[in-house]
Amino acid sequence: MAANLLDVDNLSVSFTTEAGEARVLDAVSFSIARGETLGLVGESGCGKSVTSLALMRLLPQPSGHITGGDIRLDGDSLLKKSIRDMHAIRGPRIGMIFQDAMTALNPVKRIREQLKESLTLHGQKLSKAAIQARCIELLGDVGIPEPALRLDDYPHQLSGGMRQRVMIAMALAGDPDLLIADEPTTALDVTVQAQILSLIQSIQAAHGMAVIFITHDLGVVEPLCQRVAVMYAGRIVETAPAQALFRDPKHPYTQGLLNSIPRLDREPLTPLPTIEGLVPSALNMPNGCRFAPRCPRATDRCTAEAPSMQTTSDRTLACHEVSL
Amino acid sequence: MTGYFIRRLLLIIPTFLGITLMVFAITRFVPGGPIDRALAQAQAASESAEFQSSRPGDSTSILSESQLNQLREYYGFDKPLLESYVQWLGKVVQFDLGVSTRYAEPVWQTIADRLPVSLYYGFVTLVLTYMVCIPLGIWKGIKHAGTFDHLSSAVVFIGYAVPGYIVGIALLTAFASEIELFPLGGFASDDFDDFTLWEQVKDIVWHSVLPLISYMVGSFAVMTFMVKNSLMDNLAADYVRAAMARGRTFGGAVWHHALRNSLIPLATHFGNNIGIVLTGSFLIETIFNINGFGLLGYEAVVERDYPVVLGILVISSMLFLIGNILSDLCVALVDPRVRFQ
Repeated sequence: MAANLLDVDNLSVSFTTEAGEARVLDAVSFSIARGETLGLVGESGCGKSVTSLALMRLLPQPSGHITGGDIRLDGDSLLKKSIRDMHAIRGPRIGMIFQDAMTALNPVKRIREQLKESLTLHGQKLSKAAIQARCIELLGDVGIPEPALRLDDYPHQLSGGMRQRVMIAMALAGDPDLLIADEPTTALDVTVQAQILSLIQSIQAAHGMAVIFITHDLGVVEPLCQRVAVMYAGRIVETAPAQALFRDPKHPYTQGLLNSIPRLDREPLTPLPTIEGLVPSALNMPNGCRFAPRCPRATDRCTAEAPSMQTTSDRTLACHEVSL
Repeated sequence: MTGYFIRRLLLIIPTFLGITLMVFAITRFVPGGPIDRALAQAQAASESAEFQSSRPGDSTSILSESQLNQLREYYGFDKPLLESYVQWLGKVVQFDLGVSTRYAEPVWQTIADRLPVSLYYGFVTLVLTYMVCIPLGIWKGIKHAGTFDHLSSAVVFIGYAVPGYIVGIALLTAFASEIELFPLGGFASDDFDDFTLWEQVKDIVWHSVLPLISYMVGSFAVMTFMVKNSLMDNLAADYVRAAMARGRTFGGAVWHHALRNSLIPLATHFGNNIGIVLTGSFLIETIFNINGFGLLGYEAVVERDYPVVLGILVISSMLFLIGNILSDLCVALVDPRVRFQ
């Protein structure tokens, strides 16, 4: 058995568009140990969600395809699996929760019917009463009050936080080894965000599953994740243990991100530092380091040559100017 | 929600009054009404009778004032508009639509004679259109931009672009005249009553193949593309992806999740179809010599047979009004988010 639960190895994903082939992920590598929480951080459009869909092999068809690299779950390549085998992996091995639980729930089906799917899709023979009991138990586990009544509700009858709890219950129903949480709190109020985050933490503790937590909100990452991978324009620029990353960010992009978090201890009325410029288009990526056009420390070498990955025992970094 | 539908039902009354009053008023002011026709007939008769005497015909002198008054009274044109409208309405409420001026028989009888034919074509068209368009739209949505999708789009669009009566004439020329595969027209054979039940069914189907194709050929496009586009929207929805992330197969996600959502737009149209069932198309009915509602309505307007015109209007406007409510009801049934207040 491999040491890691999941190894993503030089994963590349392209989308066929009318304007040409867009290379959305370029040689992305990371790994997750059992029970570990990895934060996958980056701006909108950097490829976080595409990474999560690629792991599930649920890229939009027919435009999206994996062009290189490998994804191994317990040492087993997911890219070599048949579609039928993937159906058995989605749910019981890898579960997923989505950014907007309103659109991720079928609006015309009751919560019971949708939750039931997670229980009955994978060949388990359960009696009606057993399904009902398990559904109530699952909704109870994610902190939904009066779960038996909520089963008869339609998604629009629940609040945003409750809907996200239902989504989490659905993912839990399969008891997966890995949970991919794709910005699960972005669409929620701040107070509800905190509740959902602590729910994910407690569930992780109880079930011992690994979590990939995808977010653009660095404030969420520090308390929740053991390790963080920072993505920029389809590449991972830096991975580090969460505390080390926040204490000592190495990559100029990571430093820029951390600097642009509003802080209460800053001098009042000073402008918030931002990273100048825009994320490059996937159709027209810079040749060298993709961050070079926006990087304050960029040199000629950065624009000419893509940096290779430096690795130590617990950190990786892709930068010409900074060394680990 | 019950309150909403009761209100909608009550709203039928003023709407119905508005529609009928308008058409009733039009029948009064449009030239060529029954009085004008009687005058023209009398003039034609007198002209041919006195052709030799070379006395110039004067239309006002053909019928005496008392004869005209008699005619006006007979057709109910002697009273003011509102008064005769109220009189007509009073009869309608008692299900009396009056007497056809052209056939000299009760309007109900005239309509009832045409009803089975129109109902048959209306409902068969409706059912067949749904049966073709829903599966076709689903298949096109799943196989978007494939060969089948492109080919079927071409066929459907050609059908949409060519008017049904042109298709009817072409079909009739090709398959009833050149190749004598189908009858030239009519609803059933002349000796229909002597047939056994099975032969009667076969006879009606045999007669209705060509008219049905002409009826439906134009209606495929709208419904097929409504189903296809709606399904594609839903296939791209998060909940389909979420269902697959739980382990649903693509087919399972389509069948159990996307399908019902993509049929919601169809439900909004369902009620309207109830009205269309009875209206028919007079052009296709003329081409195939089918005595249905379309032909009846057209001829009634041309011949100024106002009791029949108004009778058809009463029935079709009621159907449309009820159909609209039925649409709302259908939407509420398929979409739990819709709750009418």
